[in-house]
Amino acid sequence: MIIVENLVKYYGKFKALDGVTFEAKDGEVLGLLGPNAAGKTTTMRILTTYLPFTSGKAVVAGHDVVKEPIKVREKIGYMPENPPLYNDMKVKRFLSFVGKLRGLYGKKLADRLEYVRDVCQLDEVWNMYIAQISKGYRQRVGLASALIADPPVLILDEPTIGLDPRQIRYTRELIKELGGNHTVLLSTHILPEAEMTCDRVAIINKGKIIAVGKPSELAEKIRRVNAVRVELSGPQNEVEKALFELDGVIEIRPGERPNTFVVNFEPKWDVREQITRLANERGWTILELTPIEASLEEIFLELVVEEPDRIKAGVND
Amino acid sequence: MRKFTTLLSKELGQFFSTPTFYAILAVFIGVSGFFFYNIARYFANYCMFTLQYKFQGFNVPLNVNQWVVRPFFINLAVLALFLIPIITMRSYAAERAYGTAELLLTAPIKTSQLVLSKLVGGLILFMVLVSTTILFQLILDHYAVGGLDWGPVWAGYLGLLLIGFATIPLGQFISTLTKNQIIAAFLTFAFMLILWIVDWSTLFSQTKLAKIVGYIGMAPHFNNFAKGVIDTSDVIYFISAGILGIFLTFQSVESWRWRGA
Repeated sequence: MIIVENLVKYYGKFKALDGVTFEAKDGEVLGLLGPNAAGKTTTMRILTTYLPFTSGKAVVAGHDVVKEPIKVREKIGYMPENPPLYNDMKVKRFLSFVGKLRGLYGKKLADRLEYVRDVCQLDEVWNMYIAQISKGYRQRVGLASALIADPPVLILDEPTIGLDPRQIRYTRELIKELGGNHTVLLSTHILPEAEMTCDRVAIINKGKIIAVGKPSELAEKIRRVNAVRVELSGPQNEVEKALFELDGVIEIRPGERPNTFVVNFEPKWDVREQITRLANERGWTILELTPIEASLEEIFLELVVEEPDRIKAGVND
Repeated sequence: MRKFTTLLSKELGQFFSTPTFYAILAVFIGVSGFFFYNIARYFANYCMFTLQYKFQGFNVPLNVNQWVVRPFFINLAVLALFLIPIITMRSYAAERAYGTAELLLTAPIKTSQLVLSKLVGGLILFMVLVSTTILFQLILDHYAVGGLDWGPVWAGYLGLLLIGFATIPLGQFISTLTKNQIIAAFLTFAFMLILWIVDWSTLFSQTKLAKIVGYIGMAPHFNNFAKGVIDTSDVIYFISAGILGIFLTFQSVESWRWRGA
């Protein structure tokens, strides 16, 4: 649905995008994950035909962004970060205006207005001037304006920024729901959000895509070391010493709760078996033995902080 | 076409829903009324004055059109020099300054629809303001002996419409060049002023170049309309100036797409 190939974008001398390539399949929610100034917003603006690019190819819903910009715009619902709204219009009038610009009229327009009013929870501000409403509501109006024409592709730039926790949760669920029938490209630097809402994640940093894949796939690929959280009932210093002497253990760290340890070990050695045997031998009870999956946050920090060459060697799809 | 009317209704809605417009309307009516009052008063006094001669056998008919309508339209045209920059300054500069240019550029509309909607919106606004002066013509018609000759009056309004058509695109083009509305207004005013009086600079020169430069001046072209004369060469002058302005505005907006708004 969205195909981006080798996008390069220079702002004057500054290279903002350095050969960005990724694909969003029909009906999936793809997250663009990266720190600030990674190139997320630039990529999105290129896809929505707002920004030209230096070289490469971008195709949305089968239409080339350069050759058929109007068709591309028809197919995309775009919600920029800090959505631009006309302050002197009322919410209803603004959404009606956006709807009409996208070819919605009469009954269809009225139906869609009802729909976005409901889905984006705009009842309270429906007849207020946009200048008067809070930031959270502004975000929701921005989202409504992207949804109103029911476009097949949704491009959302930091959709939950500025919302309170309740609204954030609601918006994330909404995005997940929209997933099946729409292709959603969203950008965020909130890692748990990407984990929660996205089918796949593309990590971008300094204008390059560092990794693409399902959050769980990425976790498997990146983590060369497995980890386990263990709590045993024996005297803790003995427990620690015994754990350290197991085969394949790299590191033992105290866990968050008292009397727990996090054991990092080489993938070949499954220490869980060894821990069970150890507990039997010493007569300790295994109070907890939980495998730890690297969270997206850890992957992200590892990828983004390390040297790109080293990462490419281990990670490329 | 529907998208054009949507954009147009947005433009007009933005104008007519702000208090600024009503302030401008009030000031315009006040100032044009003041002009009209002065001209009419002067004319009335002069009529009284020349009435004496009638008794002595001289018949000096003073033509209302020549003595009131024509100077009044010229005053209105000068007033337009101030009005047009105010009307056009926000048209594109505000869109860029508030970020709504992003909304417009990512919507499935053609640049031509956008440019024309702003032009027509500005023209409608200008004509709404100008048409408040119909009241004065009606007053003249009522009090003048034999009524007012309406032909030259319509010619005058046509002239004003043409000034609008020629200068609003210019003002909007300048508005596309900056995000700052004040600068846009000031530049527009400066250009319009120069265009208005450029024929003065050629007053004492007889060269061909002087004639060409002098032709660019708006005042002589408008004077004909104020007199009641509709000369096609004047009409073409205004229309081609307007088309140039529209072209420049269109190109400027298109350039946002490959320069970044």
